Amino acid sequence: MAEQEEKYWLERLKEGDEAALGKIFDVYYSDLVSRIFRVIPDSDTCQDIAQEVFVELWNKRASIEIHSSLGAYLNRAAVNRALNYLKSRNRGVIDGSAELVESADDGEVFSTEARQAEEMELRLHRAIEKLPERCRAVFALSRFEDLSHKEIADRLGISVKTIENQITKAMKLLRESLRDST
Amino acid sequence: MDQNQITVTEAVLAAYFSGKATPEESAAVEKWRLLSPGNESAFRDYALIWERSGNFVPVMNINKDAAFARILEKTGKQPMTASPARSPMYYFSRIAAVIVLLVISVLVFRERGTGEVFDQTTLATAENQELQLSDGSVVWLRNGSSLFYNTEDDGSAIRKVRLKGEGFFEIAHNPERPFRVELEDGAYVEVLGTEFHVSQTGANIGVLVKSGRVRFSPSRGDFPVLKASQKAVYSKKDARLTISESSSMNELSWHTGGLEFVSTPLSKVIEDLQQFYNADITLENSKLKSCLHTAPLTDASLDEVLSSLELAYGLRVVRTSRNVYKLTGGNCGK
Repeated sequence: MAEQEEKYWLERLKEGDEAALGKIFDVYYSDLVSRIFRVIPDSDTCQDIAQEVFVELWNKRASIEIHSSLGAYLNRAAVNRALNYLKSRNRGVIDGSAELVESADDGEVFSTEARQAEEMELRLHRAIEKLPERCRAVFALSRFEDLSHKEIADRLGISVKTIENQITKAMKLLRESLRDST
Repeated sequence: MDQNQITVTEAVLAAYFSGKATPEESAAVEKWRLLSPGNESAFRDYALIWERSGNFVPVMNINKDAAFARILEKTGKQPMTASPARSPMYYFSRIAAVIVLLVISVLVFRERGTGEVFDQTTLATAENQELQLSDGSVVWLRNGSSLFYNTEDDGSAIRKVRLKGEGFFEIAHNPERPFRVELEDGAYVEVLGTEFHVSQTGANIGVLVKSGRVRFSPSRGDFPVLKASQKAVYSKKDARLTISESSSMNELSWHTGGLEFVSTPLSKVIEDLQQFYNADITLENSKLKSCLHTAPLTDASLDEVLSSLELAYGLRVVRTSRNVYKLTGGNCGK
């Protein structure tokens, strides 16, 4: 959302205008859900978390201070909630055996290099989807949420060593997916 | 060799790629790369994995109306009157009349889906807008829609923009570098050089190709290649994709500024006319509905268009009030 527009809607939100919540929701909801989904691949959980973010935005509207941008603020709120969720159900790290399923190789065959790069990216993304739950969560927090291994460990209440093991495992599995190309 | 040597694991590489490695770790990684060709090739694989995973956008279906209803419920707000779940668009349209913002602003838009950074956003609110991109492609943005793009061509393998809403694209031909329009929920349209139209509503994504070839990748399911005059409609609700031959390009009338018909059934002609001129037109003689009408692209007034129909089909046009017309009598043969 453009800066001026954002300001306008935040003002309206503070005045208790439900339409402002509707507008902000409309702009950011899908992105927030996808963002959380990268870390926690469960649609219901992600939607619950994203919805809570908007409920909180509404409940705290009078006192809210946003220094960066609304988008960044909502992202942070969503990631914090996702981290809390992961922590709450953290009962030690259980490694499921990683299954790498064959890449989806349907679709058109294109011969250009750009196309091959594209196919490779697709395979990689499928492989991310197939990562074991904890492994994926830790990898996604590191890759997409700009958190260091130590920060992730602190927020989830587990050791840095465990985080590193998970990331190593994720990277290895993803590398295998590149090899599966033919 | 150092005393406390750092073992370069994949996790250390990850820290290195994310810019979170300590100086000691970075030094260890750089040294490790040189130790063997195997290390170097692993390094390159992981660098690629790190870079390309940045575009990862999960595939999922979202029912926004239901979600918003739940939020209202949780905030203790009762959704108003009969309609249990009002779409956010309802609120927006109520207000749209009050604020006519025409904002062209520069900001760094960090696309939440992919980590992709676009430095320019254009929001065409009051009227349609024409934009020229750095690679020579041209985009006509329908009012109320936004486009996120980079002002300078960064030379990346795929030219990317992100669209919210509706737009018509004329893509500069470059087979080496596909042009990708990213849509909601991870769907995208990709082309090599062509003209096509994308529309997004809450429930559907529509892609209509005017010339060339386009690959449409909805967030789920197949990703078909569409040819000129084919139209794909993807229903988000049931993830269903329908491809049909489009009989007219009149969906583009907001862009072309006029309507054109090629062997189009008169019933469809009337429909298009109603939409384009925002009028109420009734074709009373149902026998005329299937007459095939052909007329070149025109931006004539509605009265002019109707009188040409009068001549072509021997029918009579009766205007009953402002913008309400009845067409009576007539036959298909000229």
